[in-house]
Amino acid sequence: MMRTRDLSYWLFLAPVLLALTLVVIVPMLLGVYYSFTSWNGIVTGSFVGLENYIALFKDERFLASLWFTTKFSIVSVILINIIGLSLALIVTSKIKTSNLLRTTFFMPNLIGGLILGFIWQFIFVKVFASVGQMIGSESMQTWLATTETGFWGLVILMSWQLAGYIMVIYIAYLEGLPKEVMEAAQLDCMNAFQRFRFIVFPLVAPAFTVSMFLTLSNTFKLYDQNLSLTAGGPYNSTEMVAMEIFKTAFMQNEFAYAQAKAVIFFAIVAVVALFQVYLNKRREVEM
Amino acid sequence: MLRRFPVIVYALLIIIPLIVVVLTSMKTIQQTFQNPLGVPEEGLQFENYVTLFEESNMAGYFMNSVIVTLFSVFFTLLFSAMIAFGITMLNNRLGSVIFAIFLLGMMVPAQVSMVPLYSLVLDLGLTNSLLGLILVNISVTLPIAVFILTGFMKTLPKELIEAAVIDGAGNWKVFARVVVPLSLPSMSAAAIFLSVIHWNDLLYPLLFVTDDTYVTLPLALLQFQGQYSTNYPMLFTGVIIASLPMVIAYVFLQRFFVAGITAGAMKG
Repeated sequence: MMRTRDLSYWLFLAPVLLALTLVVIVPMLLGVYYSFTSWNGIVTGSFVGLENYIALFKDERFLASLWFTTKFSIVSVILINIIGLSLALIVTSKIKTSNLLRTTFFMPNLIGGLILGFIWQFIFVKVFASVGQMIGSESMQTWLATTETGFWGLVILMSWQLAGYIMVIYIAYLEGLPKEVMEAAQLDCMNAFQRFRFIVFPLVAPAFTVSMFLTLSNTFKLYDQNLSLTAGGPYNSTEMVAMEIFKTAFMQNEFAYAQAKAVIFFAIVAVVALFQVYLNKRREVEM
Repeated sequence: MLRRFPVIVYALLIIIPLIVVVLTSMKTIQQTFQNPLGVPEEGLQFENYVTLFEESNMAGYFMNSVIVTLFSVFFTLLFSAMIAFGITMLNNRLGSVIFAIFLLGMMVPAQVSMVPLYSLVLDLGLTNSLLGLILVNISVTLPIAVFILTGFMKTLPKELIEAAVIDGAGNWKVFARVVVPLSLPSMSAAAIFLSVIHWNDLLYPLLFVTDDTYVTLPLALLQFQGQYSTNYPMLFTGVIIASLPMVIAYVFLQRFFVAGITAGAMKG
């Protein structure tokens, strides 16, 4: 009896398992295999061992994009989480317009990354320039034309988009805090800062784990926003890893080489994500 | 007041860029160059919208996006509900292994499977077709949908399912009459989550579509940027048309949106 029941659950699973295997798992495994060949998209190519991997560690453009992505991710993750948590703390502390504010803060997440890039490009290039002209500031007129402003442009864009999203996650955890604990703390004469530092902060630790994971994976894999805001310019100096891999594959047609880069990229993402979750999990306290 | 001040400033920071986009789409290039922020003396006009629909295949791109999004969301939901049901009911080590496979699928960045996927779609002859896009969309978003729905279905009371089984319901009936109706809240949240992803997806159309007939809105906008490089009013007209459906839906279904978009995050 149980056997046939179990069998019929497989009927529910089969179509999708097949699709997932075909489109996600097989390409991933194939991808790892390709990274050891000289495949260029037309000719399958021969097995070349670690050649691609050796080459990519000497590839300055790739290493530069990796470094740029790392810097960008660290700064963005910190900024987004600070803004997101602050917004959540303010919005949950009984103010009248809080619902309207939440709605507004969340809005950028509905709009595609490509579009957000267009919007901010206009603001940085046109609006900043005209404001710069009005107040006579030279540096306001060269946004996105230098590596540094390109970097901060991307950071601002990402924070603008994701802070509202992260806020929602913090709100969910903050609203789950037991009232008694907060009241007890108040009775014990803790001030607002102490309450935050010793009660709220440890109790919302799971929210940190989730938010850091999300912001990290969102910033590290960024492509759309990068493409539309700076397109990697000036001189590829604001090119992030996802874009660099895309260009290697589809503009230089070095499929196998791009694949090797993707594998390294995945390894880094996985290690950083797991390490981050491990660190944060240790800090979490049980209620 | 002290507390409200920073959030109100932040709210303005969110709203002003969006208003600037709307205003720009109703100005001419010249007006935009003269004053990128203000409203011109001559007033605003809708000419750009008319021109965009006349000069480009905007209606076609829009329809493509609608078709791809609807079909992708529907089938992802159907399949992921089936999978989640299977995993929940198996409820043994095998179920956990299958669940783990899906989690793995969630971790893989698109860049890793991008190149092999490209050659697979090419070999299948599915480039330049909406079907190809839909199939790829379904597969790549399945893991996250399975993750959301399995998390929810595991919380359903077992007694309800057992009662249905005792009453003689087969698996299909239990699924269609008991589990799916009970899971509707999390399914609608997942539907919204998926719609936002599919509607805004750029990477796969960029990889698989070169024929103008099958271009979706994000890809069309990318091409506009090349075509109207300094014509921000025209580009922003396209931006408004591409973003409006999601923004309108958000205004009406706000609670589901926030629940849906954070659903994937909250379970971890």
